[in-house]
Amino acid sequence: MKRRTLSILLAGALAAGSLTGCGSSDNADSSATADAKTSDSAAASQKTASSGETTIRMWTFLDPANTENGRSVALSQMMEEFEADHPGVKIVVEPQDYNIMTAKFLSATSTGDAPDIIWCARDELCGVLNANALEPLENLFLADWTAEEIADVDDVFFQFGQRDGKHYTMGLSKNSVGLYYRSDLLEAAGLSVPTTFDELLSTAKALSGEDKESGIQRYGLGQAFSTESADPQLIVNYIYDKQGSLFNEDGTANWSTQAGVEAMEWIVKTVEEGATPKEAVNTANEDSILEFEAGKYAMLLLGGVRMPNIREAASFDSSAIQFAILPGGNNFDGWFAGVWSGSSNKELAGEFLEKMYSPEADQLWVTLGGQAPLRKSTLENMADFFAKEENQYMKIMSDSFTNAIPLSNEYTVNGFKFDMNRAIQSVLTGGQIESSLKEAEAAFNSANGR
Amino acid sequence: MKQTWTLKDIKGGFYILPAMFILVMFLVIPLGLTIYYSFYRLDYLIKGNFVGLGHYKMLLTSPKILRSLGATVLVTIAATGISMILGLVLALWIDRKTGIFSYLIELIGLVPWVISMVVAGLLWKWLFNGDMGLLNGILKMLGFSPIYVVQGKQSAIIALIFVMAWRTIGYAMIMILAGLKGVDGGLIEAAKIDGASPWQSLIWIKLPLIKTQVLLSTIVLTVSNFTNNTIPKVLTSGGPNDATNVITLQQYNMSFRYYQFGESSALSVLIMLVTTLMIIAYMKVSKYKI
Repeated sequence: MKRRTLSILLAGALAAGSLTGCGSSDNADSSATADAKTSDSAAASQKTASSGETTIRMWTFLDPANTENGRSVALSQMMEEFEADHPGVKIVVEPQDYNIMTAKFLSATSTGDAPDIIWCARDELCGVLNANALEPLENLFLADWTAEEIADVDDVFFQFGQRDGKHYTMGLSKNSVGLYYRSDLLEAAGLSVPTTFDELLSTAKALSGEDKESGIQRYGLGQAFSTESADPQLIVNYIYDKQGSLFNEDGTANWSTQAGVEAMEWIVKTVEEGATPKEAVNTANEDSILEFEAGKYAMLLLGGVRMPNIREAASFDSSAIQFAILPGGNNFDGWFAGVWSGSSNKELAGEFLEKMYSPEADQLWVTLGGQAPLRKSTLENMADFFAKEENQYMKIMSDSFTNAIPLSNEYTVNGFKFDMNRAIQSVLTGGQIESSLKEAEAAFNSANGR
Repeated sequence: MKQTWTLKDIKGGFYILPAMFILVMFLVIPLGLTIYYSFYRLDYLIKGNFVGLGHYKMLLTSPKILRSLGATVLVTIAATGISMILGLVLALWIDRKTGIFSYLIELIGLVPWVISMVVAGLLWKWLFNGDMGLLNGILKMLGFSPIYVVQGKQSAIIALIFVMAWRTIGYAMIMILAGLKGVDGGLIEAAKIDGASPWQSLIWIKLPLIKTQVLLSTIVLTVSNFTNNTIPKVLTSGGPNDATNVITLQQYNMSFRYYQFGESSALSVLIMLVTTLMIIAYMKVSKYKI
């Protein structure tokens, strides 16, 4: 009997071990890298601590050691400048797998080992604020800013980081999910950039067909309905355009409405009429990017922040790739940086955060990183830069931030994009529109405790 | 009788301390915490109310979880079955070969098992791509219509089973081959002299003698496939419409997409119970004794 009990216990331990091993090894490489970096940084922390230096730890998906990524290079330069201005202070970046960074941060706050600065994804910010994990920026530097300075950064990102009259974070790596299009194909077909849903569908249909040069089947509009797609799809724009909000006042989903049904019918039409491939039902953003680069799509729904990489990898004349605002408005997305409320180096962490938002840093983010400016003044001061054809997408992204599809940070919206995509998958695989939308609403409400 | 501790016992205990420390720190404590937190609301890792068995009740009555479990069982049984049958066939075939050819086949067979699952998943995902994949390229060349493999619910499940089986055939083959190499040639020779056909030799002599290897491989692969979330995540992302949403993918999404750590802890415990049963079977088959 004793032996049997012991056997069961040992089996349980082995099972637990197997569970530990069954984690998301799809990110094994990045996690491994992150762990390695963490070890390095931990060693660095000890070293600096023993030599009397102060270490500011930051978690982000960017790796300053990566010299091929413009945003990483920009960050690295800011770190060097800050350290030069603050002798005895070292900024240590511990690159993280962005899929689990927020969860890891929340876990670390409870054990007292969180980094001084954290980058947080939009959809997860509400949970982080609920956990009181961020220090109000007014306590760090924002109280010293003039009204003019605040107006310079005041946009949908700035407002999203506000709760109860205080700002906890501001947008870094601002993203805008819009329409990538190939101007060469539009020009050849004598078409202009679509601005309504009807135009988008008719343009996409007109641009579909076999590509004469490559021989591949080209589709007018690339969409990605996989539940792995990080960027919201057009159902969001459509519902927002028709009914003004995706959620009710209490944060419950409001999708099984007339607008939701029409949105779904529109999406089904894009697939049935050949403007979007049928396999979009299970295509993820990352797949659609590669396909766009290979010439499979004339237009693609995607975050503008990807533009530099897409242009670099395109198999056709990359100067033809341009960016536009979607019907219904662009979804704002991106990362929000803040200072951990439990940090013992809040002041210095706040200074570095302020540095990353400074006008000088903004120029680096723009010129090296190819990302939309954080400040309106950057747009004005670098008007010539943004006027160039290859840089216009950054201005368009920036313009979209003043009129982007709003979201509240008062309630969590975890997984809303994935739940909406699941509803689309259901309909495209034979499900009824209304019941699919109702199921998606129920899944969202249940997952968010409503 | 009272047991007395000798210096040898104490030294032995001292030697296993590092291993015990690691086990306790990285297995026992996390396991205990997982069980503990499965009784609480833990959204965003903020400890909430005690819910008792609420999460377990919710999981065991949720149609979505039950569908996910059903898909996992289907994929596990089918992939493991295919691997074992084809692994056995390949092992029997290679057992007759010698030299570099046999060695090469063994190496090639093991490649899918040893390469990264992410790489394997991506490889097949692009081979299956509807308009740009190699599979449809060949079909088009031969004049057939393209197949959109991961687009339909059923075809996505079949594709997932295929890739998971492809990954594990080599492992099954090598394990069974090891068993076959241990079969006494004299027994086969004696059976042949007694008039047994090759088929009879296989059924009545070889298979009973490699029973342990076959059973062990079956259990190892069952556990491996049951807890595999990498291939489904990369190949089909659980779609379309949750058709390939295996239980570990569900668990991952609960934790890192919806931040419902209480619920996902309870699901982890349930998965652990299932795998525990499998491992008990494993230990029983291997006649492991403590």
